[in-house]
Amino acid sequence: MRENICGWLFLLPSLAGLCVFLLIPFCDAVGRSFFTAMSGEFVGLENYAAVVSNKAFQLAAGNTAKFIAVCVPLLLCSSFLLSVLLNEIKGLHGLLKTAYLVPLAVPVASVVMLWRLFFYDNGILNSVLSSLGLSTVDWMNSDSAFWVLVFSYIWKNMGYNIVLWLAGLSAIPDSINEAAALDGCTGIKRLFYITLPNLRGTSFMIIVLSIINTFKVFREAYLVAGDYPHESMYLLQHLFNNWFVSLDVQKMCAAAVLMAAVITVAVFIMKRLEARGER
Amino acid sequence: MIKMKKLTKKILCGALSAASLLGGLMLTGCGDGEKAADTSGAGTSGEKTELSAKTGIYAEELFDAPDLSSIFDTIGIFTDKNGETEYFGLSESNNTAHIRKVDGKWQQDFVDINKATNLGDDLCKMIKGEDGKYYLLIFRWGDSSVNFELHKLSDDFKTAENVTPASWKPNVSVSDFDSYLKNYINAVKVLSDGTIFYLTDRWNVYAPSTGDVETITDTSAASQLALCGNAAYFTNLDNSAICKYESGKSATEITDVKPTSDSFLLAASEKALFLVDSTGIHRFALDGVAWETVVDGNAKALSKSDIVYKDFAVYDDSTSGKESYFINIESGSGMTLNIADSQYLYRFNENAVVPDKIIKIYSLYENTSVRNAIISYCRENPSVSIEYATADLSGSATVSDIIRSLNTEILAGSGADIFLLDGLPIDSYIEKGVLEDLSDLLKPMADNKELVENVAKNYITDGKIYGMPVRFGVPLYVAQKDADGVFESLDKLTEYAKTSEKPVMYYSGKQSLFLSMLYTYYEKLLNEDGSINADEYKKFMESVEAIIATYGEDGGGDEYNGLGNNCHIDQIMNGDPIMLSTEKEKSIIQCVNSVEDMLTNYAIINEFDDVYGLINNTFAPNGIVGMNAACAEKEIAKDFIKYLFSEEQQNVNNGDGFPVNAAALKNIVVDTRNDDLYFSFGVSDDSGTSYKEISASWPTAEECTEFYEILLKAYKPVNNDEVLINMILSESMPVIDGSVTLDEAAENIVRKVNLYLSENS
Repeated sequence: MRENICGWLFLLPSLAGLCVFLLIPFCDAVGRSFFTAMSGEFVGLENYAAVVSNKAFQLAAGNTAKFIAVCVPLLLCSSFLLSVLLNEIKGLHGLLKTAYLVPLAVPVASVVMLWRLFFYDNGILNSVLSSLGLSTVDWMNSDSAFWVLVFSYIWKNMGYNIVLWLAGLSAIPDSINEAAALDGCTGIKRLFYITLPNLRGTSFMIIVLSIINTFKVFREAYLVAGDYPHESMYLLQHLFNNWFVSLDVQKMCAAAVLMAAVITVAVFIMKRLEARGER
Repeated sequence: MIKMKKLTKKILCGALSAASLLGGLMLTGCGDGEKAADTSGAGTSGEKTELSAKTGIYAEELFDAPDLSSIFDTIGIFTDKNGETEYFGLSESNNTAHIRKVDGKWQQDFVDINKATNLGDDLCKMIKGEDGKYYLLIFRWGDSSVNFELHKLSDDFKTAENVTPASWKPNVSVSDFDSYLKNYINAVKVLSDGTIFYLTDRWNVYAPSTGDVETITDTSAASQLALCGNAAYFTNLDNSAICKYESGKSATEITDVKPTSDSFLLAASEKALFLVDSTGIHRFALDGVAWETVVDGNAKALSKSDIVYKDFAVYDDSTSGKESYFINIESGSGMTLNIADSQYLYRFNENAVVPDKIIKIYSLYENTSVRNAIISYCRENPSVSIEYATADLSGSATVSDIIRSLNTEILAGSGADIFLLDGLPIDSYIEKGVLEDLSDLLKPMADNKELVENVAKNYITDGKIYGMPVRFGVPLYVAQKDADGVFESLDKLTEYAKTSEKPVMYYSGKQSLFLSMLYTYYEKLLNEDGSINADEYKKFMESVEAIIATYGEDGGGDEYNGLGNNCHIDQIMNGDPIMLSTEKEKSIIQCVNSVEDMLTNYAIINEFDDVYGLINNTFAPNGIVGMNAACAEKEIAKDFIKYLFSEEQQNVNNGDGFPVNAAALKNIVVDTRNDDLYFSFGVSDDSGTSYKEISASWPTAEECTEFYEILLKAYKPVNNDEVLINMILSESMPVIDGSVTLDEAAENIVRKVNLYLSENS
């Protein structure tokens, strides 16, 4: 009992912060999603119906889902492979790890400058294409805008995921690897039969964090392309941001609740899958 | 553990000591604070109002100014030996009028300073030195140069001593611009010991005894300088501090200061320094350490936009035992006709009614009519204080960012009581119930035709009125006869531009041209569902590009860089009809906001047999007033809105639009005559070989009636959805730059506008 109280006391500051800044506002948003924006008139599920049938919402939700579906597996695989390689390199291990973490420390404003330098009409990429005799690409105003966003996300989050994977890899006892080696399980086999199964818990956490990080890419997208970017990179946050300009708070709240529900269900499914794997 | 406890105790003791010290200091300051409250103006918060309710306030009064009709140019306003204000001005017969109070009544004498100074027809300014003597700064203009002279007048004004500093350059040539700036004498002040301060592109000190000259300000003619006795006070380079200068000593900074805008005035008395800006009159006691705000500028003439604080004086008021302040303000912008001086007096009144009701007004853009109405309303209703705040669009924040901040306030229930809805999402605010239905107030006025019908009917939906513009302007074209009718359609305009051998239109930069065109032709680009028609957009861009092809990207003037995020129509449609008099361009489009705006138009039209007219029957609403449904002081807010639309207020010509009140519109446009008004302007071609003088006077009765009828035909408001306008602008400029094809831009715009519309569906 005494230990429990002590634990709660330690938890209290962060729990209070979580409640004040997240849980209570979210509960307020849930409430608002059933009422009109200003007059507070109860409208039932009307706001949800309006959101689901809204074409801008459909586009933004589709883009967001597509972005998560493309980015998260891509980031997971590439960062895992790099971390396995880094784990094997002993001498430059620390230096390389730091190098991969640098993008995480670059301020958003600088990232935006980089984007402009690279991807604008007269940017470096188009200069290179021109010098090679190829036709230039309007990176920010065509379907390629989506891939620019994907690149930005991978570039920025690679180092973070590598650190998480490395932590997971270092948690695998050497004795298991040594025993496997004695049994002749090396290379790819060891990767599939020893390393991956032991990283199940880590991978669950990395997937959840990677999904959460996909929502943070909005900052770069907004600063580079504004309120109305090319439709391939029009995300849910763009829509929320614009709805706030027109004071469509009720729609924002309904959409936020829907989004939270989808993420919760996804996490729940992953948790079940992980639990099943554990068994 | 024990050590830890001791350390904690020490920290606690330290904190408590610091707190008690701080508390002590605060208590010490309370005495002064109370004193400051005695002299502070009406507060902006309830607490401050409560405090001043017990102590009285500085009230603004229109200064009992003399009749200045006999003089055409005021050359100086000073305080005489008795502490009364005195005026000096030049009369039509070139006599100098000296107007001062004798036995409480204004008396006008004529003093002959002509003979003493050989003034003739030259321009001059009078200066009163700290030595109590009057000085005359004379600008002797030649064909292309100017000489400056400074004369010290005798007490009876009959003789004068030429005290022109030897350092003043003779024959300052207008053609050598750098030299002109460095040597043009903008202002002169004189210390008690005769030391002369003069402002060129910086303040200089001239010692008559030695002939030495010292430059005391780093640079910038904007620096303010005030004299008192033998000391000079001036603001430093970035106006962040005030420096003190005394003859023979180097200048030292004596206090920090931060005027809230570029326009401010620095003054000095024996006891204190004064800083006058839009927030009020601030006082710094010379033996003190901090500034105090003695007169709050809110809802006072001090807060007007486009003003210059010209003269300031401090009086000792024997009735209240406190200081009184006189200020002379020059207000108005644009044509000289709209610029006028007005004088105010701020006197402390212990028994004055203290505002106990506060309403707040918010707008994206400054609105002169509303600002002026606030000042007069608060003067008539001393129990009401109105705070008017405008968005800061000069920084990096976009209009969307500002609207998001505003929406946060609205959601929190702390938004303004009255909004000026120009540029704000009006439809969304109506739909969400943010705005109060004002039909009980405005519908009877509209039904009784008290409001201009063609304007008012646009703001009545299903019998409800959520907003109504206070003023309106009209986008007009003035063009050569062969251009008559071409502004009706984009096809005609494009065709005309393609066959024109000289520039079709004057514009100050491609962005201004694009926005002017977009505002006027926006409706033609739309499909029935409000989306953008790609083909019509391409036609529109073809027209814009054809016009640019006749003149180049800059048009007749440099791109106006002050736009920032501001796409307000008044900032865009700034075509000046004088440009047409050079016969270089064929037409201009401009937003006409007053009859005065039409003076030069008519002069040009009559001189060159030009034509003019409305474009697509559009008008530009200015100051669409709406009321927050959550307003706590609804009665007062409604009373103020009613006041805004009253004939009395609408009859005030602020130069920012025509009245929406029908009687006031007819009065201002048709009935008001100013037949004595006459001016002329000269124009020459680029080479300067051809010169023409054009005369302008008040439009004839027929012209006024014709123009009035034109105003009544403007029945469609221009689109003021700035999110949409900015979206189209940002996609279209690359087309003009040639970095994006027209097809690509059209595709992008259609897609983005559709997305924008679908968000709000």
